[in-house]
Amino acid sequence: MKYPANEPQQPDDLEALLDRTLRARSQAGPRAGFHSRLAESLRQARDDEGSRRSWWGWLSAGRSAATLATVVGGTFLAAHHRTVPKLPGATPLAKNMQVPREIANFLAPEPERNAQPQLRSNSPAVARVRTEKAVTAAAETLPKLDTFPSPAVEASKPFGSGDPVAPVSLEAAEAMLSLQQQQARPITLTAVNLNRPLFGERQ
Amino acid sequence: MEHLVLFGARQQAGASGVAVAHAAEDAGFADIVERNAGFLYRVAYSLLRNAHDAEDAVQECLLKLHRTGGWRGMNDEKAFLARACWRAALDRLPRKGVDFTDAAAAQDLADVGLSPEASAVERSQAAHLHRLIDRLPLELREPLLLSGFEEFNSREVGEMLGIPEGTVRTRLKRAREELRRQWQLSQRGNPGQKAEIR
Repeated sequence: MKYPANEPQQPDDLEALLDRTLRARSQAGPRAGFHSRLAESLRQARDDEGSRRSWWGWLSAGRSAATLATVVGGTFLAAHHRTVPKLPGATPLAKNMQVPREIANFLAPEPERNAQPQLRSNSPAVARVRTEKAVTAAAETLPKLDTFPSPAVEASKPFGSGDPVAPVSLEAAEAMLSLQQQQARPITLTAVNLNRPLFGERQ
Repeated sequence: MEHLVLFGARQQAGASGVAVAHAAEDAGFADIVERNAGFLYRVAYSLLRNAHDAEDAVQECLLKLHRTGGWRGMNDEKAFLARACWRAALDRLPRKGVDFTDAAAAQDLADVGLSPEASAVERSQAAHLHRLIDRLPLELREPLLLSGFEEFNSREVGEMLGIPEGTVRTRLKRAREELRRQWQLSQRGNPGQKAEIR
């Protein structure tokens, strides 16, 4: 049905056309092969995601294994670290150089040869105990200074006034005796005449 | 309709518990895709008016749902999927508008028993109406296009768009009035086409 050019448009016709247009717009069918393309793309995305997930899984597993190995190895080394005795007169090539235990035991002095190696631990508790032992040992070797009254030091006696030193030989005893006699004898000084020229008699 | 065989590789006998769970999950998603792929295409196509873009929007939507696992918690399957696909289509909507042709209108309109001449007139009018629809503001275009789906009522359209049902009806009324006004303006500028209006 058509309207003349000068006739007003019928609202119902436009509404009907709009309904048909919207219905047609909402009922468009996909092109052939849409479902297979969709399935393929989803399958490919799934595979990509799976490979990516597995790659990340392997990466995280490797990282966890490395961390575990580091922790276990560090704990083991800290627990079994042995102090190597110093070689007498030997200069290590490097600061952290350690001589194998067998060689060190062979070259060590006799008392140290069969000594049990000391265990060293890095734990704070062990370090604190070690520090307290060192302080106690150092305090025991020093003289006790807190005694009151302080012991007097015999510094007023002159050298030699105490017990005489025993002569080691007869000649030495005679020499010491003569020296004591010379020291006991008075010293006499001759008067000096200053008026007489000192060098006239020689001329 | 083709049967979707998705994720068939995981459905193997003797697989581990995790693999079986994955396979069951994938099978569930495959069922959802199989049930709604055509519907989602129609949702995307109603907005984009382009077959390639509509397919891409559907694929993108489904991939995103599968990747994020958002499809597991949906209550209303069709509304949820339509909302997701609608948003994916909105992201693909060209800013300058949809380039709609008479050929596309001819593809859309079904043969309703008109003569060849009347069919040509119908296609021309439909193409013009499509252009007017595509020029509507998005807030009016969305409820208008979604109201063309038999699957949705005003409440479901409102849930999809995140607006109240009353607002949907108001916008629908405004959209139709705006289309009528634009139609009349275009007919005044082109009297020859106005004569073709049935």
